Amino acid sequence: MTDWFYTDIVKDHFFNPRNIAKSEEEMKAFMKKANGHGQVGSPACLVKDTHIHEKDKMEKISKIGRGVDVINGEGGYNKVTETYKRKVNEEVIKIKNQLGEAILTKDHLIYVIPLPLKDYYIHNKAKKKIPPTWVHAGEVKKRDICLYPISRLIKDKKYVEIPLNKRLFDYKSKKIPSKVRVTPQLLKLLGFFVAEGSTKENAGDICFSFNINEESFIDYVKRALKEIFDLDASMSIKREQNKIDVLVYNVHLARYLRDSCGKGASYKRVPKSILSLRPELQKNFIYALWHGDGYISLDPKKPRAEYSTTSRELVNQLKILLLRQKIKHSIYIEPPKKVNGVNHKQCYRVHVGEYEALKKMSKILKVNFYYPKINRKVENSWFENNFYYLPIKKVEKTKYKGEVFNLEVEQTHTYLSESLILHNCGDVMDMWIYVKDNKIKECRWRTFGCASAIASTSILSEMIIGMSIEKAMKIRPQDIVKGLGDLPARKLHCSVLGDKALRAAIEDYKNKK
Amino acid sequence: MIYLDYGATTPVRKEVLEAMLPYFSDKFGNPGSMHQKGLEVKNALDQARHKVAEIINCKADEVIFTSSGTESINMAIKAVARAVKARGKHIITSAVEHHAVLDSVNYMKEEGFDVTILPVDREGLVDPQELRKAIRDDTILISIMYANNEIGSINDIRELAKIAKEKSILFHTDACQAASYCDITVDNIDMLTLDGGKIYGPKGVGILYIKEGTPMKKFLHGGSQENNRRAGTENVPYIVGFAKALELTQLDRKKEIMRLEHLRDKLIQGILQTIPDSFLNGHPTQRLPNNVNITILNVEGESVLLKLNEVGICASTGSACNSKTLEASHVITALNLPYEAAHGAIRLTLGKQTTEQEINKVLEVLPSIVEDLRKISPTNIKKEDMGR
Repeated sequence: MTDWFYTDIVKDHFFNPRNIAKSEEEMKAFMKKANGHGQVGSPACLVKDTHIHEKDKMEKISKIGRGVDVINGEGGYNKVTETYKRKVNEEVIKIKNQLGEAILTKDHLIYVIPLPLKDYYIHNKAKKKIPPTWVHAGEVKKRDICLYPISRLIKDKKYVEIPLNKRLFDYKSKKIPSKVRVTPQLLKLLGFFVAEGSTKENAGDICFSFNINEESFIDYVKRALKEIFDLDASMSIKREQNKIDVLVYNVHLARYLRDSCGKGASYKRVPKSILSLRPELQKNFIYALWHGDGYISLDPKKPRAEYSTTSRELVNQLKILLLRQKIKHSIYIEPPKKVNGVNHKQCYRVHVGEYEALKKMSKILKVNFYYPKINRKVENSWFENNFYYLPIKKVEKTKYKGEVFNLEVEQTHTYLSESLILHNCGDVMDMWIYVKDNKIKECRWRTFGCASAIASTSILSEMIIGMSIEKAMKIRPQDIVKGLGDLPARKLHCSVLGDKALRAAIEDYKNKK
Repeated sequence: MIYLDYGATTPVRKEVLEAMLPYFSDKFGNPGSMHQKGLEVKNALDQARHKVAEIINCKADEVIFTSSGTESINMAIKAVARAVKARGKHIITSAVEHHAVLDSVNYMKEEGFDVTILPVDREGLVDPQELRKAIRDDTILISIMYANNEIGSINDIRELAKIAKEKSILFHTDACQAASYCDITVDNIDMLTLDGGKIYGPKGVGILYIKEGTPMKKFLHGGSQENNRRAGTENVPYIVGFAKALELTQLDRKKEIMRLEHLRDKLIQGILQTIPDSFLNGHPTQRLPNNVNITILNVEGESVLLKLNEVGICASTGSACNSKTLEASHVITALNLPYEAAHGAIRLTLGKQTTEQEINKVLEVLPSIVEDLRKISPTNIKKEDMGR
């Protein structure tokens, strides 16, 4: 045979895999003898309230079913082919970054750049050169860099459609166009509605409430309603509250706004059709949304732009929109509180504070950017190749008792929580070890996969025989690849999982001891 | 060496090679030249064109020689859609097309076209009713493959073309795989693509049949070759080879179909009987006589391929691990089958040189290869889990 796709070592291990059971009986016997067993891809890994990005909304993982489209780790989307759940009572890992937090079982794989424990890397751009890989949640450290994809769903709609079903007893509503062109004006109007608007249930009342000094926005909304829908708005001034309401009555428009932007402040959302528009057009929506409900302050002491909402959906969509503009930001959750006797619901706050990000934000909000450039701190988050790279702020272990869930996702095998790229449970690998006197004496394994998956597990099984468990714990994918001579780059992430199965087996051994 | 990847490409027949050879050195002229050297070549080119036209039953002017099936497809979709966009901007195709079609129509989205991708049934066939439903007032082009390259399912292309005709919509079919085994006379079809490398002709040459009067925007600019539809000096030796190859496919077609169908069914039955949890992908009877595509659960296609290669058998797979993009076959997943089914999909495509002994050899070695791989596989998916 002439030239081969893989190295000779890979070939050797693929055709003659080491440390495998010759028969079912032998396997069974070894499973009895083994005192440690590890698995990669064991199902059910996230606590039930974890919110996952479906194609166009957020959903709790416990409520996602088969066939649903979820956003994958590359910013596209795939179908869920299977769902899993199980009950656990064990230590779980809480991982926090600027975008939020996630609670997962120790063996769940997440996509990060694991930083070596050397200061050199942490204060240097060298960390950008380390390739990202799948790491068990239990092994993730503070300051490791996680990746978050920038949405790639672009579908430039030219029109939005407004259903004009006839309603009984409604004589007031004018007929409005059923197809409206997507223009900056429309996007701004929708932005103002999501921020400031409300509708009355089952009626045609639409209200935008502005602060009394926001005259230019008031005029803008009135003009937009007239020009797009030919609707005349009235104003109601509430002096004691310093507010002006822009009011208009139209059943069709009210229904459209309710359906596409959500009803009630906590359920507000970005209309689906806007999420996939070109980033350039989306700026118009961000402009109005932010001016309506957020603020920007370029006070040199504490320059920042902030936006707060009680809608979890909206904050996550805003995240998608901002990442598309490559604007760095963080998201905080403010717990429910009582201020001056008024109950405030749990609220989500988007914070933009970084120099470049503020500059971009000012441009979108059409605010003069006069904030002088200051000495930049070490860049610890960055954008590259359609990903947002951001450091892990906190890793915490906590006890958890209850149900955990996982999904299986077609093709990419990845899905997205509010803050992390998660691996599903697709790839399966088993590793059994027999440890005596702190050394691995024997092992057996099983793996599903291509030649490189089989060869990498085989060579690992050879490497660890006679090794102390401490040393075996330290084996990394790079060591395996080195042992094999090399692997094609595209095969690295998907096929080298043996080290994870091994560590899980050693953990299992330690727990049993 | 047992070559069972004729779907990927075929060897050049001896007769074809012989027909080509003089045009590399002796008869090297440019068919556009007004002298003896040019004219002798021009005659050969005309003959080739007439031969192709005769076989697919069209006028000689309706044949454009191209550099490949891929080019023909790109031309049929991009050049034609651009020329008729005033009439509408909607294109219909199917989910199991070759990437040349799918990527081309996706590209056209950037130019403002709207695309409907028809689903296929469990056997990989386009339902004519689905096509009818998808047609809109602004549909201008339908492109549906004649026979599928991965699973071999043969569409009722006459029926589909008739529907397009009724609605006066241009209809293109990618007939690269069908050429050797199906009726490729054009009749109601407006455009048809063939490729030399699939019919025992040379690679790097193909044709696009395009019905007289079909508008198209020129694609390659330069000279006025191919009736001013494709610039570039004609690749005469390859064109001669293509025409010869196409002619030969017609000669012994019936006999070859019978022979291959027998071998194909033997191979399919043999594998399904000896390997548990395996099933056939594609249509059981309405399929190419040379195509076998079987999913073997709980093993990964690339692993099977490499083990087959080691014993001298060349095959191919729909598994993601074997593709550069790490994406599983879009054809297998379009059959409403889970991802795992594509993982273990093995394609064996038979051809002229395939013998009964070779089929026996595959049936002899494949079960033990699968058994070995299953021994180290931790998964245990059953055929029934796939609904098969």
